[in-house]
Amino acid sequence: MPNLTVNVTPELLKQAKLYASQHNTTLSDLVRSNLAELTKTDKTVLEKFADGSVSSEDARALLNFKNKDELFHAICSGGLAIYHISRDKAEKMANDAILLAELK
Amino acid sequence: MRKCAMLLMDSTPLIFLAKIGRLELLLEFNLPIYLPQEVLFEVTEKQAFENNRKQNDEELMILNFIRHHQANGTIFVIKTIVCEIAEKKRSENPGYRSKGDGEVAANSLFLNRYEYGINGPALLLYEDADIEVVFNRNDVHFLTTYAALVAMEKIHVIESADAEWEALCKVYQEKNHQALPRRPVDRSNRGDTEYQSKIRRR
Repeated sequence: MPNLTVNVTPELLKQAKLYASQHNTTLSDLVRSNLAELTKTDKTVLEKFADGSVSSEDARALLNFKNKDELFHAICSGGLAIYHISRDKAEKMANDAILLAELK
Repeated sequence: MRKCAMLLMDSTPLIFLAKIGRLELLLEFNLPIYLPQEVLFEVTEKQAFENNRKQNDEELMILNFIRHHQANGTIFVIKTIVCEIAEKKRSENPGYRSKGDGEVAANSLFLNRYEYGINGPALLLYEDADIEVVFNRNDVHFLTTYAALVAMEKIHVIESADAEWEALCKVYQEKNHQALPRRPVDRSNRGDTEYQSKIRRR
């Protein structure tokens, strides 16, 4: 397993060691499990956004992205696709728009 | 018959179409296009204002597109009361960070649309899912960016909506997600029937 170096203040290190010993665990386990939990949450939110069950505004707020571009990049670089409505629904909307705009 | 108007209800359709070099497709609906000043601000100025930087090429490209078609009377940028308040806040406080001003301005534009001369049916172009719930009325019709691409596919202005969407996702796979170069609209097959289109493709 690769090593990770983290810089913390002496006070935080002392508190973290105390917390680990009180909870019968190690600092490494604490960092590992917290990182796993954080990334799991992010992945779940992105997956929910990709399937349309979370809005872009909510996903941005939950993941603390500054703008929409960051959110869409996270989706696509994670191998997911940006959500769109079903082809059937899109066809209905498109037909409606074509009729309204008198394109045919 | 009262003419239909297209209302841009959030910034995402503009961003998506710009990313794939397809902003011009908006004009293919042959409809007057209305958008609130704050939605335009969100796409073209917000990041520059909040990060104290100059507008980048993509933001300027979108702004130039809008301004050009505003000048020729196709696009109407509407300054609602929400826009005026937001502008005042920005001028008084450079640290002002807008949250949802675009959305509120779009609501204001919609609710006061008759004042802005939008008397016919409204075609709302949007991405935010709430729009369909909030603005559900008899004379309102909905169009997502993907559905707009499907419409363009149906009138044979683009080959495939799905291919365009794939191109969009590809752009966003890259870290700098730079917009594709502008692709002029090919109208040579526009209005073809399915049969004519197949023959041409052969």
